[in-house]
Amino acid sequence: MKKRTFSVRLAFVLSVIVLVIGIVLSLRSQPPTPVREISLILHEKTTAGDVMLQAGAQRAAEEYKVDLSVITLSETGAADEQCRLTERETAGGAQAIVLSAADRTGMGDAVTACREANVPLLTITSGCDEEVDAHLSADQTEMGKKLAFEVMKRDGQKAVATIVRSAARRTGLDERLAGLIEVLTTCNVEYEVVDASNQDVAGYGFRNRLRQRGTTSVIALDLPELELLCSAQTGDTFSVYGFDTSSAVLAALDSEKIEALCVADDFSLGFLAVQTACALLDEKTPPEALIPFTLVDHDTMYDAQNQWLLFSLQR
Amino acid sequence: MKALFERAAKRFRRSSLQVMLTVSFTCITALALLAFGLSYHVRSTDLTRDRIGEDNIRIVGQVNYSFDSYLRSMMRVSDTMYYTVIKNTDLDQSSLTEEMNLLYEANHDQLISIAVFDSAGRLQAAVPQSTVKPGLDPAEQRWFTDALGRIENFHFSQPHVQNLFLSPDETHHWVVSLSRAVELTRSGQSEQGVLLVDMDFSGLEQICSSSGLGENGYLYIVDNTGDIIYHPNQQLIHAGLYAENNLAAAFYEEGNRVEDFGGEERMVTVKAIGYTGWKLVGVMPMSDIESAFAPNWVFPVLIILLIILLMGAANTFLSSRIAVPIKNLESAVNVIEEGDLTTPIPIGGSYEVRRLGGAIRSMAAQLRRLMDDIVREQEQKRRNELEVLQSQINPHFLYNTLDSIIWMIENQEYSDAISMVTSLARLFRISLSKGRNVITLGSELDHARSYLTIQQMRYKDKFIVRDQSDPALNELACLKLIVQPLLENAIYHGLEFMVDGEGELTIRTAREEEDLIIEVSDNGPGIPYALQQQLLTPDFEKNSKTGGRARKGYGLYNVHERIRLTYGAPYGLTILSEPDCGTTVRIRLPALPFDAGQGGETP
Repeated sequence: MKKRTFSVRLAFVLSVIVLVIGIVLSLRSQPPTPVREISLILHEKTTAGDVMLQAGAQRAAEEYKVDLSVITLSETGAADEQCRLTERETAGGAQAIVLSAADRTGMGDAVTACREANVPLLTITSGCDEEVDAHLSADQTEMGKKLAFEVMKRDGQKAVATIVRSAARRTGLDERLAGLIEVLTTCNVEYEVVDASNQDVAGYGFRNRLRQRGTTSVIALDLPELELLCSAQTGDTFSVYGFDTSSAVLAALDSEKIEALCVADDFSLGFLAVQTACALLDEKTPPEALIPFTLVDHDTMYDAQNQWLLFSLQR
Repeated sequence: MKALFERAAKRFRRSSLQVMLTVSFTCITALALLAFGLSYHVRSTDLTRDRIGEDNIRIVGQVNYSFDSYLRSMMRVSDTMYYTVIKNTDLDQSSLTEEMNLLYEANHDQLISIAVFDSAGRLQAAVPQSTVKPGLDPAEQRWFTDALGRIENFHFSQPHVQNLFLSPDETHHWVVSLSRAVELTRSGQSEQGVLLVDMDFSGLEQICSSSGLGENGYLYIVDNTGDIIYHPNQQLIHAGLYAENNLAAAFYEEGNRVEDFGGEERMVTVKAIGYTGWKLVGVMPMSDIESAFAPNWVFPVLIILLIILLMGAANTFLSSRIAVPIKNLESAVNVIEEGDLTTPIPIGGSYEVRRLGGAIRSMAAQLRRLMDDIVREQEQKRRNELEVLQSQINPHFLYNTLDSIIWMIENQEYSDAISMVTSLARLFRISLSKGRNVITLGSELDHARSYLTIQQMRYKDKFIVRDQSDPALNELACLKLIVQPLLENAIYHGLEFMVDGEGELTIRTAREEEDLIIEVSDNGPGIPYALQQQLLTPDFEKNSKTGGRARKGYGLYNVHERIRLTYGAPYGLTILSEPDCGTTVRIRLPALPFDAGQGGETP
């Protein structure tokens, strides 16, 4: 009996102690929700061409409590620098890397750095040959096809196309090119592919060449070339088409220096990129994402739907 | 489950008082705490929800007030432009630009542009840009057609990118257009025109963005058709990545309501914005309200558990204070039950338990006294019976009687001898009465007569006997051997020294209501009064037997005590004597019918 009484008392005292400790612990203020650190490394020198992408990424950063760092390169397309920046960010505490790959074959070091640091790496628009955790992009091949069809619609059977490509070896550009060529070839449209690194795209010589060839449409695969082509001179007989936007490009579209653009929803892309990075950090399955794209021209750029696509609300 | 409950209930009913009290009090406390906790939680949740609802109404009201101020300031700009500038300007004689510019500069942080158009859509004046995009017809734009469509009203457009003027810096502006029909004056003639004030949309954004509606709450604006004017996730909505219940909200009444959208419960607060027909909608997820309680459920649960534990300990202590004295009483009662009346009775605890202990103690003491009395009475009875027994076989009486019989036989007085032997036999037979203590009155009187027969023979003609007994009473019960001692006393103390033939001995029986009276009277010298007082005391009885004399005592106490032991205090002997007037000894018994089956014990 005495032993039982002692056991009961001991159990009572222990229970009281446990409950008091529990109460004290429960009174502690909840720790703040941890902020994730994610780095978005662009492939360009400036952010001018990624205004909507950044706007979407920033919105997602607010939504998911992310400290987002947007990093540009000192030179557009500097893959080595992009790899170094990736290593720097992973070493500096970045929990996930979002990359618009500057070069499809030159990202091995970046991928290795992320793998070693156990940091999820996802690519947007342009991927790389190495395997990454996720890749988000609009269907660049379909974009190329759509633009090709638009060229043919406007120029008809007499279309003669010049496709200007940059030296950058990005998957997005290759896919656009593939889409364009597929349609142009199928429709028996005469076309040529010109390497911008070998041409002064903005210069008079190039324009003259185009005129002599009888080019009716110039399609710029990448933004820098498109911006150079925007500075069209009076007397140009060709129409300019492209894929990306910037303020200069929009101004050119507004002033009809650009005939049409096939534009992906970069705002959605930026938002979904950060969302996917957070899902990877939570070890959840990233949501299925289809980035839409659309064709805009001077007449439709201010439509109710397209203005949301082209013009950022953020300053 | 039912069997388990029944087993538990059975076990509970069988448990000790302390366990029952502890368990009952603790369960009641726990139930009360839980009930209180639940009701408090529900009430406080409701109150908090109501309070948050009121806060939301206040916040939305404040934002609406700011919004209202903003819109009114824009309308003031429009009014000022119209009534102060346009109405006082003849376009053919002067320009609107300078004053328009002043007005723009004063409000440039909120404005993108001010412009005036004629009814054909031709620009009359505009600041800061003044060149309309080539190929653009303002008259086809909605703000223009709305203004001329209803000339009395201000018209607010949906937010859009301004597509009017050539912009030298390639910038675009999101604006909300405020347009109205105006009267332009040209060479004294009035004509219609449209005044356009493009407000910077970011101004609206700033007003709505810091809503203060909880961690995940936000504000948005819809027009009267449900189209979104402003939403913090506006671009996500247009991108199809976010959904909002704007179409329903456009038709909500002002105030709070709870809606279920996208599987999430939300508190929605609606306020109409003046002048525009828009509605300001505040949204707060119910999870924000409930999160004030959800993380803290651990605290109240732990507190309740701790209180239940402490109450259990307190109840155990309190119940022990009640139960332990009762247990001690119970132990003492058990000991008493086993026969030990001397065990001490512990008295403690509450008033009632102390009273109970005192009562049990008194009861035990009384029991002890009663048992002692019973023992004493039984001992006295046995002593009396022993005396009776002894008197039954008084050897002197027997010896004298037998001697008389021998003498009679020797003198060939056979009939007297036979009579004496017969009487003696009858005397002894009735004395024995098969061991019974209670016989019929008839038998007792027979016994007395047998004695008297023998004595009369021995004391020839010494006295006469008058038998005045009532035969109707012969079947009443009577204690054995109570008359003979009286007769013996009357003979030896009353009549012995009287002259032969003068002695009279009377036996009388009567019924007085419920009592049987037997009287033995003699006409002897009587008993002194002082002696009368002593005759019925035990001391006199004891003293009368000392000195070695065989039968000196009167035996009256024995008879008296036997009667009282058998029938109680109201019954017994009464001595009525006057000196020289004789003595009557009266026996009073209860008039009870004789029951042969009773064995002759106390009726």
